[in-house]
Amino acid sequence: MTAELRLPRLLAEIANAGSTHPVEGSTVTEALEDLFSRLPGLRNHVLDEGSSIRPHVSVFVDGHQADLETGVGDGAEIRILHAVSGGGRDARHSRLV
Amino acid sequence: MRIAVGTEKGAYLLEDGSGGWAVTGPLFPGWKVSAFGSASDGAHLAAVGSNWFGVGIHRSFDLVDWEQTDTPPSWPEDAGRKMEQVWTFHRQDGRLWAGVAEAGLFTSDDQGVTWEPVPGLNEHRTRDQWEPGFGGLCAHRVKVDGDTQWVAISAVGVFRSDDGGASWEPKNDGVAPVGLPEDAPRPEVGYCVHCVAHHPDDPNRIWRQDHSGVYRTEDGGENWARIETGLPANFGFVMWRDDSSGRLFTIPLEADSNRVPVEGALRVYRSDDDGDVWSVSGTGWDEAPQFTGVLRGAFDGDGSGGFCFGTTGGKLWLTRDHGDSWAELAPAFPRIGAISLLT
Repeated sequence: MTAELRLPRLLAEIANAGSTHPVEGSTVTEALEDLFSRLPGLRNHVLDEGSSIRPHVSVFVDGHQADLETGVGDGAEIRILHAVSGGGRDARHSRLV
Repeated sequence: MRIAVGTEKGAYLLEDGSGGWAVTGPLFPGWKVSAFGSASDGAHLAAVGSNWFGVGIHRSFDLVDWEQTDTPPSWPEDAGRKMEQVWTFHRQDGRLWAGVAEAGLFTSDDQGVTWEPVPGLNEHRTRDQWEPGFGGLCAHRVKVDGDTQWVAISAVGVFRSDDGGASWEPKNDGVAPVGLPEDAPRPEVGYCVHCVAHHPDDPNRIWRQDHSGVYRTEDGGENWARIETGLPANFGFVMWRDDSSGRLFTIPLEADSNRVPVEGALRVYRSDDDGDVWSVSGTGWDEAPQFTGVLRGAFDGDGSGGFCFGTTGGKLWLTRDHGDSWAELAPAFPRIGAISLLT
């Protein structure tokens, strides 16, 4: 399956890459691994220490929020987006010391 | 002189010339640039981070073309920790060290391309007592002198290794813990070190800007004593030694509850006697109130009397004469967290 993966600007620029990439795979995981095989520095930015999608990152397949197991059809559009979040510190870091 | 400025939103390069300061940037637009360093192969290093996308390390030989490394420091999945920021780089000979948040120490033997954890510190027996400060739980200063190594962790304290990093012990006797009454039993960790500077020829002489005050040790951290005479406040984040003159520099802020200069008087303070007495460093200061802070990574020197600091308000101040005169530079930037004078 060949899909089109679109990166947010922050990731495209940091990887010195374009925003749109053809990727092979029948699931989001396989499509991401295909992307990482060419842009390995992005793995750490999309997946966390547990190889899950980062908490404030979302993946959409053809407009629907997806997870790593979501199927990817031929010609699908995969979009990586970052959440609209922030403005407050993690509660663990609120101690004034 | 070339100045690299790391901000909340990208990095900028300044170079002085006949027409004034030429500004290049932003590099890494939209990314927090938290530290600069250099590798022994001549590459410049920049650490970047994002609330969404984690950390990264980039290398460049010309400051124009930057290449992202594939594997920045990372915690193993079973550690239960998040890699939030690279706070500092340190280099000795061919090896690099990176201090990170959540607090830990990593080394690289391939110019910063790959990194290995230092388990003797990262899995220290006191680890479950480590608590973050306002800036997070971060290892922000590293000094290596052969087998003797120091790491400063906020809000945990200074650790020293005497066996090349295999084992570490807290070294904070004499420093006041934060958040405890004076008569409480002294904890082993819980000392909020903000910055340290080592004597270049005797690294056991260390000056320390701590949350609780300004200190000096002459025995590698075994005993610390306050050195605050002449300072308008003992809170702050900067401790810098100009090795070409022997002068020490710090930038007092009012208090932890109000992290701005006392009465808005942004001033560097210096000591010409190893910290015994402090006074305002030179001239050139703005008489208008400057309610802005200076962070621990935002002060650097070129080794020959030129040094520069950046403020949380995005302004740069520069001296070329060991702190005898200061001038504010015209450009303004986002909140500044890292400064590096490139030589």
